[in-house]
Amino acid sequence: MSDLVLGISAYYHDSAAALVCDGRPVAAAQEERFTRRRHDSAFPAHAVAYTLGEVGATLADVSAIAYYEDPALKFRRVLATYLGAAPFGLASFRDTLPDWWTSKRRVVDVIGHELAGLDLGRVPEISHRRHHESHAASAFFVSPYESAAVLCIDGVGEWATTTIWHGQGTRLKPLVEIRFPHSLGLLYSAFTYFCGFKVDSGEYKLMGLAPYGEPRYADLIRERLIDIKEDGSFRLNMRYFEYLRGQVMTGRGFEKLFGGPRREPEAELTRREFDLAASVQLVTEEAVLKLARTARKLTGESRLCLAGGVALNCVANGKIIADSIFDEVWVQPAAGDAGGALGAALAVAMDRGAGRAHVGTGRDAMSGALLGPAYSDDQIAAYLTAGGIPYRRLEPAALAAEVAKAIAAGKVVGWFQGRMEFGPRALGARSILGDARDPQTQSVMNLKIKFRESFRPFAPSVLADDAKDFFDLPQDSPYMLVVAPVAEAARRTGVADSGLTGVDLLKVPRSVIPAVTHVDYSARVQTVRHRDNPAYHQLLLALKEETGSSVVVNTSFNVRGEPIVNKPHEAYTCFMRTNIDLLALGGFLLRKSDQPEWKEELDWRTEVPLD
Amino acid sequence: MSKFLLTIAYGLLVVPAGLVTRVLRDPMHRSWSRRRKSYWQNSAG
Repeated sequence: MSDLVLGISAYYHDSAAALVCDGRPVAAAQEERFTRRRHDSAFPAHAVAYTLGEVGATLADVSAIAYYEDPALKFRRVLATYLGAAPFGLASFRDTLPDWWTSKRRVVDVIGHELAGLDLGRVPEISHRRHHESHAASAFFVSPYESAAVLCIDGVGEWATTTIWHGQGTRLKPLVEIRFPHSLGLLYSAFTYFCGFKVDSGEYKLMGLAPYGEPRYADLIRERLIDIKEDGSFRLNMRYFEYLRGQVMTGRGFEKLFGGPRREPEAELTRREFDLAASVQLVTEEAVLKLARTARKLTGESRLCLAGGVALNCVANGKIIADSIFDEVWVQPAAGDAGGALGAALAVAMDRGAGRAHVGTGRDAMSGALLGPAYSDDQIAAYLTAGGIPYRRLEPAALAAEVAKAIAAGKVVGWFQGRMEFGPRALGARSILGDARDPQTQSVMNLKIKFRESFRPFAPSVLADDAKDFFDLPQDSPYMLVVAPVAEAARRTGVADSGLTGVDLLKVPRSVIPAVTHVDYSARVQTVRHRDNPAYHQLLLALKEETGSSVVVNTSFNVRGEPIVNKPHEAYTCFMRTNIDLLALGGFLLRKSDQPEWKEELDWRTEVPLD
Repeated sequence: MSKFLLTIAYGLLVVPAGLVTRVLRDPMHRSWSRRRKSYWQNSAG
């Protein structure tokens, strides 16, 4: 009889549920994909129902339920923070204590009630794991490695903000930690906030902004904001941060240090924001590299697993790999709090005697991160027919060939195939694709399809076997969590920026794949193998046949502020609202020019909040 | 819990307790030490 463990993360951001069967993930999804509220923090009722339904189980079939953090310990940290901030934390105390007093400290009971309300059978025992243990478990137990160093870096869970673990077989041993309020994740979030982006959401924008700037504030950050020791351990100077008091990340101290008030959201980006982004990115990379070296020293391992929100900083991940601190690095694709649901379930499963059957195969146990819902061609056909939506049905090879031809001709394609990705990245299941060779693709996709800021670069997918022709990437990057330099051979010679500055730099074609080459010649690469995503692999093969290059622009299937699409009708709506030319919806190909006129009573762009 | 009661509780309980606690030992460990070689703490597990 299979042993099912359900993991849940909730009530902070990115709620999720994950189901593990005999130690292997079989289904996982973020709640936002069902409720259509980005970073939804509510109890993941839809995600729980989906994961159980995926394997035809009810709660009665589940052996144990694991919550991803320790609410009592977290409450003690919150109380200590009130004491540490007094007498300046009244607003935070008044805003947050009632929730903690009534529900958050008893979150395990709350989850029991919520699960009972789903009417999916008897609720089994619910336990909790610590926040960083959940991260560490999500990174190590599904990694391909028999043993490894594990480094977790995030904002904060209970107390720990940075931890190093030693993973061996089915055991994880905690070694050392840095505790709140000293947090690399919160340092990065403070700059995210100061540069006018949303905390817990806009950090990847700050990372994308960094290459436009010069790190002229890096010394100031090192001198005033963070004391980083040679072993990577650090402390922040809390006189410059406001988050102990609860309401905002930064205040007057930060403003004095960096020459004025924070940038208002959506205001024009200036040289200061570019340089602040470059500076905090540089300091973060320095700290992460030192942390990685310490992880190696403490464990003696030659392989590293990464998780926690800071592990989504793919530039820093790329630096770890480029520095050859470890022979191999594996990053959990759902490295943020959503992945905590999976980690908590895995930790409990291992305690219950599960094994790691995938170790020794050279593969991880994440199934390409394709752990979300799939919709059969019958379901899609029923939707299309009911809506009177024109389509053509094609065999997989013909579909790949036709889509490849369209991309080669400069068309933008919505690609909706198979199971949805778990984690923040679109990996070729819910993706919008475009021609990486065309210098216009970047601006067309940013402004006419994604409706997002023009400074943001796009990322490439490439056949794993072709990656070395385009990128200096010494290992696979199946989850698009590693930034690597574009290979010299793929760069254009004689590129002149002609006095351009800021976001205009992105308009200069710097390589044979300009749509995915950032201004510093870097790219956030996804390498694709057949075993991880056969349909996407087939498409890239067809593209290579068509153009000689298997590199494609791959961005998430959504518009700015909206969660990635989950269901066929969401994909069709996004297709019709934007300038996407074709939609490959399972085995069906839809052309924009064949579609009936799209009508909506309200302007949908006013309904989707900006991220 | 009303905002008024919370404000009273903050003023009468949290502020004095916080100030006393910080005199004895800062729960946030805010001080920097240039002489210290490391800020790591052992994980209790």
